[in-house]
Amino acid sequence: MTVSEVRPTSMASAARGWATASTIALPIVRPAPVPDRPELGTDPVETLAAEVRAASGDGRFVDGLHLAALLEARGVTDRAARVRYGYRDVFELAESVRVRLDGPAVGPPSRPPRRREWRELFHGGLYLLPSVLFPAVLAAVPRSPLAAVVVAGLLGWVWAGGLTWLAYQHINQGDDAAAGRLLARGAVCGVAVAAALGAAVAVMSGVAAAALLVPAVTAYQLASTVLVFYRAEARLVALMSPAVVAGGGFVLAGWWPPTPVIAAALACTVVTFGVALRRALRAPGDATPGRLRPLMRGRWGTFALVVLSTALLAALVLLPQAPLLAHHFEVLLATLPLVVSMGFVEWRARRFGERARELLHEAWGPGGFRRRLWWRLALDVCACGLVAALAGAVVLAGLREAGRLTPAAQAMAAASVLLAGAVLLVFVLAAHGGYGRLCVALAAALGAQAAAPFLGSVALLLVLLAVALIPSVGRVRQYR
Amino acid sequence: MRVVLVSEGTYPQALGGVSVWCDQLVHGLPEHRWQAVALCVDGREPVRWKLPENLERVVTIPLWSAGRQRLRRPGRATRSLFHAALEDFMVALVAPPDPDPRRGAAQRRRFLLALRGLHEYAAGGGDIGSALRSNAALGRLQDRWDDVATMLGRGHPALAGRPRRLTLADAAQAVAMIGSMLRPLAVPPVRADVVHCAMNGLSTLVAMAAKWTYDTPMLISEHGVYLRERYLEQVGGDLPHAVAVLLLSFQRSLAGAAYQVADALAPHSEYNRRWQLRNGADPDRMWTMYNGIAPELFPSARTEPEEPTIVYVGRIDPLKDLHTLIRAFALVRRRVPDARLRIYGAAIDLPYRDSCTALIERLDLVGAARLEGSAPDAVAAYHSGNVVALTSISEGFPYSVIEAMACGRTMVCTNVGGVSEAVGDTGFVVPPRDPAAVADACTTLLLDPDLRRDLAVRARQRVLDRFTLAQSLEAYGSLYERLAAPALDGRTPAGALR
Repeated sequence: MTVSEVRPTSMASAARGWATASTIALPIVRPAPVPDRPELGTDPVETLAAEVRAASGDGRFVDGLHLAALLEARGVTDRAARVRYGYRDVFELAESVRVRLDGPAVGPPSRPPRRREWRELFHGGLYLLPSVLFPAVLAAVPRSPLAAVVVAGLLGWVWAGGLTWLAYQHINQGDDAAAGRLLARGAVCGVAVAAALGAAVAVMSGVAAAALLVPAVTAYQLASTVLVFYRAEARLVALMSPAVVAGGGFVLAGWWPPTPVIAAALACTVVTFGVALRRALRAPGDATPGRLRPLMRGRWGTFALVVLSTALLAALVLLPQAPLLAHHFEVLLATLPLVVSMGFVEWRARRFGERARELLHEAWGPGGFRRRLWWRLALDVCACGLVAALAGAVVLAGLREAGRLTPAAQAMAAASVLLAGAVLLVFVLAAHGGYGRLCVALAAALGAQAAAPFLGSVALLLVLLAVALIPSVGRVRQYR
Repeated sequence: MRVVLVSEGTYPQALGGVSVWCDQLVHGLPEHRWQAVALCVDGREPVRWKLPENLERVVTIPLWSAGRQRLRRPGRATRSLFHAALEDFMVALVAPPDPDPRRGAAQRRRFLLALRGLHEYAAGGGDIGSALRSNAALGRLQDRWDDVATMLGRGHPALAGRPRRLTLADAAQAVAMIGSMLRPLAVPPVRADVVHCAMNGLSTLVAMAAKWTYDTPMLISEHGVYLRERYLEQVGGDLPHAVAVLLLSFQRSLAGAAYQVADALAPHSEYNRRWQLRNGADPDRMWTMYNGIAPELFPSARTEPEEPTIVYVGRIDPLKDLHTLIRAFALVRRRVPDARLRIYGAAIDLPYRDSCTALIERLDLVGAARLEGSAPDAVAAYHSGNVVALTSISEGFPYSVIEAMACGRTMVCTNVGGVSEAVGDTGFVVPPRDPAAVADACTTLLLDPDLRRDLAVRARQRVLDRFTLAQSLEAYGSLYERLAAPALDGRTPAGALR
């Protein structure tokens, strides 16, 4: 009897119509009845079924051939199937045993274990850490180190982004040692490049301190990148805490000389950098020499887009802030909500990916999966904006209390709120590998800064990123 | 004549019985021009054989490396054909096997057409793996899963153990793996007079593509039963059950489709025929071709070791079930206290090797039972024992058995695959996973030198009569000639058994 001969129930017809909206001909039939159990004095087949259940773990077999393979591997031959069990051959015996296995009730689908980690939430504090030292730097340097700060910020951000992406290519291949070696070498090279750039900035701007400031800031950024890569945030805080105490003391006391504060900061940075290198080089395993080139074959284009998108994001965030450093400190303070909320944004970005993978294990089709992910993403964007808004409210209240609340500061705080949501979308799009789309959106927003206020360009970025995510948010293969 | 020899995970990048056979074939038929197509993991596997001069080219098809090629979008007609093929392909992944031979054959033909549609989609520039992983394809697979349950009823025995709903996670995992396995359909078809697959399964995709494109005759040899080994891999495996259903249904459908389309099928033992016939092979196109060895390379031993010794020669692998051999040896030692067990072979599965070492320690056999590592000289290894044992749970037609027999050693083997056909009445064949039966046979042989010598003489003669390399090569050479001719004439090739 073929399917076309089977008269489907109304439910079956409805299901088929719903499923395909067209005619399909499933070549599925009701398998022939299982041969009757032979009349034997005892029931050796039941005994065999019990043995199979014990041997196979869950007692579930895809079909009779699956069980026949096991029976043969356990020594059951066609002859034994005939003589001992009364069936024609092992295949027929297997069909009979499989029916008797009455496999265990199918439980709920297994889900990937949830990582209950909160460490990203503290990253905002880590990113805020160097700013405690800026007042001392500004006091020690006779001329504005604006160019040095911008160069160091951009270089450190881009170098760290590219370096971690490369390191993860090794991690994805299971080569932790190669990743560690790459991080260590890359960090040293990054500081060397920063030293060269710092010297150039010192010559061009006439600010001699730039020669020290650029490599020092870059060294801190790369050291913190490496330690965060290895989830050693606590060690980073402990190592930098003397510098933070000194910087905080300078701000609060108001009369401390800046030079010892800067010396303490430099010493802490050097130690932290050394510890980070040591940690990277102690990654387990033997690094396979010369692995990066074959690993990156065909991926250099992607790497270029990774670097470009990181540079564009850094430029988008840092360039509007740089001119404020010298004369509009209250507006600069209004960017703090973004920095503080970055940890929350990172946490939500990770949770978004995890939640997507959890949803894959639920009973949704692709349409339901896509709808739920968009809903989840919208909630996460709002949550990131809300956290930044709360931090912004605190900063604005403080400025108001100090009598330094200006419309520019308010606009910057509002832009920071939108930027927190936009950065979440940046992380999600990057996780989807959509670096090309990311570059287009960031470049457009950066270009808009020339014609529109920062708040407007950030709003545009938010919209462009949402559009850029349309092809990939609901795509199942992005989350495997 | 140009012959393309296709294999998966074996020649020329791995050692083992099938690779030995491939090497013998290429060396032994120098009048043909050969090309080897090796399905491998990522293409970085080193060549482990000295390649003969008449092997003109080795083409590797990496199945599991990250694919990065940029493909063009196929035309509308190709896409339309692809969607129809995809429908049949999805149905095959979820449908249980049909016990009726006529309808089972229809299932296999439908799957074969689906594979051809996928091949033409790839030939037109499409990316099969990407199309399979698309949301639309995953949704269709879920729908077909539901359809089967609706048609048969959820409580139908054929669906026992299946989860009610196929999750996207399971569907995506399965199609990602299947998409990689289908890569041979996307490489340019090989040009040859005969495409010879050393096994069923993914290798046959290469031959199918050549057949569809150039009408090249296709021959499949099966040493073991490819499908049976895929099933055994999934007994108590880690994969979610739904993923196992999809993967094994794919493998079963592929093996059946290959039997349908092959011009000739060469099981390497009578035992294999049972599985092949069960999965739709045509008996009129099947010839049993036993493996063969060069007897002069495996001379009969003139002496015996001083201590009663049991020898194993082969891979250290769970399929060889060395735990049973070690447990049996512990029983042998109760009656033959000075007995020795020497296990020769390379270990790829290191945890399994360690488990063997641990078992030897636990059974207090340290010193008496030893893992010797690879045997640099197989003949010396066979000669170092009074008895050669093989306690596998799955075999094709193992070389180690006929090599040991040629060396004048008596075998104690488990009754799997074509082992009993090789040994016949010249050794002991016992049930697998039965240490007591293995121990009884070994003890009997160790304690009865006359029986041992008598069986050894008969074992060597059996090899000379039936399992020589010359016979095997003659049979294949004859089969190639007839395949390359316009039509098979139906006669049994010289040296083959019907």
